[in-house]
Amino acid sequence: MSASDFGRFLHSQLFVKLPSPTESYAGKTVIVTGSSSGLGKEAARHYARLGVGKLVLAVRNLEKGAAVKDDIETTTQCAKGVIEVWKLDMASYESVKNFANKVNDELEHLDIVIANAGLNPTKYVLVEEDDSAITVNLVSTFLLMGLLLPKLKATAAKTGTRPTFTIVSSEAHRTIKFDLASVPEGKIFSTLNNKERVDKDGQDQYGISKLMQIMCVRQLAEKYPASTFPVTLSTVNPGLCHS
Amino acid sequence: MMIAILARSTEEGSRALVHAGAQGAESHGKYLSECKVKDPSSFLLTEQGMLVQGRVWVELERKLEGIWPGIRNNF
Repeated sequence: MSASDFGRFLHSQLFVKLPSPTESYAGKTVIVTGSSSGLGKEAARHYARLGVGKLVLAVRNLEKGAAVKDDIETTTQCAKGVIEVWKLDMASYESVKNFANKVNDELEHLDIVIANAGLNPTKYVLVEEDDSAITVNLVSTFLLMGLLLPKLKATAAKTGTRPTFTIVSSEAHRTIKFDLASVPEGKIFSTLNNKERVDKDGQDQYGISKLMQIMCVRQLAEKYPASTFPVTLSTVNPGLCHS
Repeated sequence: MMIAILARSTEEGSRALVHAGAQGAESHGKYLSECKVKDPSSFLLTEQGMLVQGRVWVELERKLEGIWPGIRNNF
């Protein structure tokens, strides 16, 4: 991180207060992934407090998810039946596919997806075809996006609104050591799938996955500008938080 | 130590997520921070960064096609 980046980070963390949301989510259907703890859980609680029509907690552990559902129902007094807990394990392509199928079969419409589920591992672990940070943060996240887009687009057509799919990213994308530009054509994933580098420089892989999320969302908006694409795709940095 | 002093509560951080979910077309493709559209890493704004960005998407799209043939048509 450069001195000016660090200065900006300090200023943001110490002096910038984020406004609490006040708008109504009545009638909206929202999915928050990774919502059994931390940021995802608190974002879910906001939606429940703000009158959301249906809220899907997409979680790895259904028992933990059920406890979070109870907690949010108690603290927000939202109606029973608003919150559902669905299984989603981003470490499994099959789980992402099953989750998307359930969305397409069971949800009438879909207005907002907060793709918050992510990993910050320090050691190499092979998951599906790649290192876990790449599989979970990047590949499965965009697999989920691709598989939910038909429902999001159908919602836009049906309601005349603009649904959103936003990915929780990080300022860590600014500080990576790895030089993506030096990777030979067509070899990005195979180059990143290097146990020796990840075990030595574990934190870097997280930043790389976050950088690639931002790149892909930018590239998609380049290919499919807002005027021709009825869904908003974005990335969001929550800042450094207690988790 | 640094985290203890500087970190926001998860509740406050989660406001940024809800904010991002509520934004319209002006945030399409954008990086949001502090509930505003911000520039990402300056590398991404360079010509080389944009070139690499295109390559990353091509490779990811190819991988996604291997997992779910036809998914590229969903975008």
